[in-house]
Amino acid sequence: MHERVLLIEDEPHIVEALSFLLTREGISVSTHSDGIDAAQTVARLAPDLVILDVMLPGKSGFDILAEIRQAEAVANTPVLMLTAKGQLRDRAAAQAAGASLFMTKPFSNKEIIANVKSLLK
Amino acid sequence: MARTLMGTRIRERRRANKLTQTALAKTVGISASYLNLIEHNRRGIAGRTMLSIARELGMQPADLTEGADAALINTLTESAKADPKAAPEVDRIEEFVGRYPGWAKLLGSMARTTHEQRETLTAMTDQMAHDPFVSETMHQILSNITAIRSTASILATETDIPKDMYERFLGNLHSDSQRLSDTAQKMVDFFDKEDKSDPSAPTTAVAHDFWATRDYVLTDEPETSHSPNPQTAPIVQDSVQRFAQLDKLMPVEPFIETAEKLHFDPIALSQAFDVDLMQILFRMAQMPSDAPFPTFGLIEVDMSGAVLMRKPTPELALPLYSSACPLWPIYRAFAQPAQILRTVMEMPSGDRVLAYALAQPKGATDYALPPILRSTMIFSADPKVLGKEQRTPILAGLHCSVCPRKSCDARRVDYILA
Repeated sequence: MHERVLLIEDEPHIVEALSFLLTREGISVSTHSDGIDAAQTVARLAPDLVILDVMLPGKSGFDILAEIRQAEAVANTPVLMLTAKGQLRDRAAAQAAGASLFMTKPFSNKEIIANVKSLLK
Repeated sequence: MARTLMGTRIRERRRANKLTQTALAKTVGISASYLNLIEHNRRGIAGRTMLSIARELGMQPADLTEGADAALINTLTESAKADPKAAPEVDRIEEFVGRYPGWAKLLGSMARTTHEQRETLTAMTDQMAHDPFVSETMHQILSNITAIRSTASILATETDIPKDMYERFLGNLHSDSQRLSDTAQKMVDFFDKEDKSDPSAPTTAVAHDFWATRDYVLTDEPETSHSPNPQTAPIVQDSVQRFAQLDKLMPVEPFIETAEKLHFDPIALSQAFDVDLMQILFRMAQMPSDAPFPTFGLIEVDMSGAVLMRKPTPELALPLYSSACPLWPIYRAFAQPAQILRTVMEMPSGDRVLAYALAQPKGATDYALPPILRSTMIFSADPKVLGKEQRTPILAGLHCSVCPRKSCDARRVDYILA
């Protein structure tokens, strides 16, 4: 059975590129672009991994991560956080919120694929 | 605090007036020993005695009282606390203010300026870090770059991409690069706007802005506001007064007609209008943009190299403050004051300009001091001016950092694109 990744990202061309790459790796990809109901989507789909952007319309990635960690059914889902800020305080906030891994944009395709595979193991 | 200061001031002023303690004490009706105590800040004075002393010393009573010096002493005390390593003699601040009021005011003013600038810097840093526009724009730029990098990498490294996906990725690249370009332009506009509204912009930049926004010509229309009031800058005042004379001595239409006849030759024009050569140079560069007259750029510098006025042209960009190419005749003119130099310069782009440079004294002459010189260069690439000029051009540039001429004896810094 394919591993399932939920990509929560509002930049459509990043979504297309990452979806293409992950699909080629044999991973099943679902996408979501809004912050408001992102945690509910995670709960509904119960993916093997969440790739979560920090800056989303409606709600920040940190708040969504906190909601995921509080939802019993999906609380232990690995979450790879993406941010365009890359500042130390974002990294600290992501760690505090319970992110499994933190990557800053722009990243290389190889790097993100390697991290996804590592978190799916 | 007022009492101690007053004593110090009395002592200093008395000495300046070449009065002895005995003489002053006698005039104001107190004993010399009491005056000595006052002067050493061991006794306070007020009322009639203070008024008498002030009168005898030729001072206003208010000059002897604390007044604004309390604020000054506070400022200096705070500065001393802020830099304990310098070990300033805090216990002697009052004496310092009393004995050297001018230096004390200067130091206080510098301390206040430093404090204000530090606060401005902190505010600007804070604004940069938290400004919603900067934050949002940076996010957009990085998101765009991420999309471009990922997509380009797919196109470069992946094989067997379905045709529809391939075309879709190409389209994404195109639109992302366009968005990136637009966002970068917005960012540049934002900082450009910020820079212009910055009240601490250097005076020379204010002067440049003053003339650039008016296309280098003043009209009779009422002046609109320009921040921060550029007319207050002496170099702007100088150039405004000079322009007023140009229009009076050489009205535009007769000047154009005569200049055409005289082949735009500054010396001939100077003789025809019976005006100073320098005025001719400024008139040639400061013509209405819609006048049928060749475009002349202009740069004026002082002996330190500071740029006082600048009018760049497409053929020759000009530095904002200093550090232009030392081969320009504007600098050579300082070695030959009052001698107009005529030179053809060739830029690294291949553009050629004919340049006239002239250095002249500014201000009154003095037996003991060398003249203060200012040098001006005007230049044009217009065929009417450059004509069939055959002389060998000087191979110049704008500034070493953007000049690719490798073997140049004048080079100061490396070419940044090397």
